[in-house]
Amino acid sequence: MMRFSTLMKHPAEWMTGASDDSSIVLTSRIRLARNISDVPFPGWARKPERIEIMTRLRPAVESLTEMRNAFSQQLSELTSVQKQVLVERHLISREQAARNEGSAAVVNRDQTLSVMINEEDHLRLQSIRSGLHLREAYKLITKIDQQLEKSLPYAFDHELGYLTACPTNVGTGLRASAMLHLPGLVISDHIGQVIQAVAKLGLAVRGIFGEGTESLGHLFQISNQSTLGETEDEIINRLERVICKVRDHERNARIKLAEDDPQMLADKIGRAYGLLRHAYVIDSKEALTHLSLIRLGGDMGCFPKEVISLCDTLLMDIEPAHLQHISDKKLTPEQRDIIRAEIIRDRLQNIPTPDIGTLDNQSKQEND
Amino acid sequence: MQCDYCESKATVFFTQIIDGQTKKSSLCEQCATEQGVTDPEGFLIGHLQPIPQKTAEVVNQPENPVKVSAPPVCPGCGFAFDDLKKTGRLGCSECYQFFREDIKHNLGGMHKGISHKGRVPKGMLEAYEKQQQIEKLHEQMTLAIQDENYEKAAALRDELRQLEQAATPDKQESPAQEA
Repeated sequence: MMRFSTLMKHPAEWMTGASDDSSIVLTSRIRLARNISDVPFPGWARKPERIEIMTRLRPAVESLTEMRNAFSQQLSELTSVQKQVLVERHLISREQAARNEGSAAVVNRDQTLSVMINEEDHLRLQSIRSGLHLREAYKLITKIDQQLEKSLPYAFDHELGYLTACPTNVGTGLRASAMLHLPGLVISDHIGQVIQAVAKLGLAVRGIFGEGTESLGHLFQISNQSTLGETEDEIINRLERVICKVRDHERNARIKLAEDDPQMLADKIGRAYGLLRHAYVIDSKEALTHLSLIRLGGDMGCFPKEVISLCDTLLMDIEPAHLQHISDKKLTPEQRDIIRAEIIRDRLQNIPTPDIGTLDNQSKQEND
Repeated sequence: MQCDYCESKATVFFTQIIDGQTKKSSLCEQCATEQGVTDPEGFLIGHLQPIPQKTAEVVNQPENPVKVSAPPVCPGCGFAFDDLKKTGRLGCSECYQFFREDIKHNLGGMHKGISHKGRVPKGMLEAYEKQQQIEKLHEQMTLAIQDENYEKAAALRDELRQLEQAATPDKQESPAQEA
């Protein structure tokens, strides 16, 4: 079994595997909720029952071929910082991080697959891929699901499908989501319309960072809400169609900004670069805002292409728990702001000043 | 809906399964309290009758095959439907059986449809098909007996026996999607 430190040493595939199409759609994620019949759901089970269920499920998950040499820990064996790190990496949920005994997480080596045992449901199977690859992620997770269903008596009903602790997940138990970087739509002030249009289609849009509707770093998550009455393919296809549309809108918004007001865009990107290169104290809100612009600049040719995956890795590394994990101690918010600035300066060291001329060219090229 | 016991509006809906017989009752809040339906102490065993019977003693027989359940709690896990409003979550998979109608009533608003169209776990599909086939044969057998066609009935009976014993059922044309 893999240790926590080993897990941390390897960045997730989807953080670095920046496929060519990940400049707008960063990641695709599929989650399946599954339960065992005839035992109470984790939230209703008593502690001994929960432990018993976990003891039954864990070997089944660990013995999956995809989980060879996996990281597998009970939540009670992890420190609060370690739990938080897993949350920041999207490997476990906030809800699971709050749990202790009788709950476990199993994560494969590449961190493309994670199984939460006794979260809200007995099993939450999840796969993450970089770029827009929902189908691929679904294929991967279904392979695991099919292996598990051979040995575990899933709670299933022919009318209501997979039975879940919360009726909002019943049916397929499938939540598909993608993380999108939409600075163009935010800067051009079109994001509100897009969110409304997407919401009308019964899909949920929320900011990845920040509370409520506010979004830091121009990052948004789009996911399905309905899990019953449609097949898995229908859900995924519908979501994918909408994501492609949003991606096109973002692409157009970027081109239009470069066309209409290249100076404004150059100014934003240039300032972000200057600030991040020379800041000594930076909170996470400010860092996310500026990193988003660097990432945008990377996509528009102002920086070498690698800047995009560099930003993606940084997004995670500058989060509170990652900072504390890296420095191996508890940090006050003030200390975090100092270390955050240091890490950012260090990583951006070899990134040249933005080549603003490309903004103009970019808009011409894209229009050809 | 009116309360079964008085003129008031029923707000408590209660389903009992006793010896496989389903009995549904609707009560107003006051009658529900009087009947012990909402009494957390009396929920394990208790028959809802014109004369309220609050049997509190729990018989220590966990393997008792007879499904005796009282007030609106799931026989599988003791979850009361009201808890769903508090926690947003159900107690166990059996709750879906027990509170089926209440749950279905709430599903329409949150989902595209009210019946599952997605994947079915492999073993379940076979078991389901088998069950459907058995039910179909049973029906045919009953009809044959009614028609006094005993030869056919006997043949169907043999087929049924075979099917019930077979570890893996023959897959014939799959029954309609909607259950």
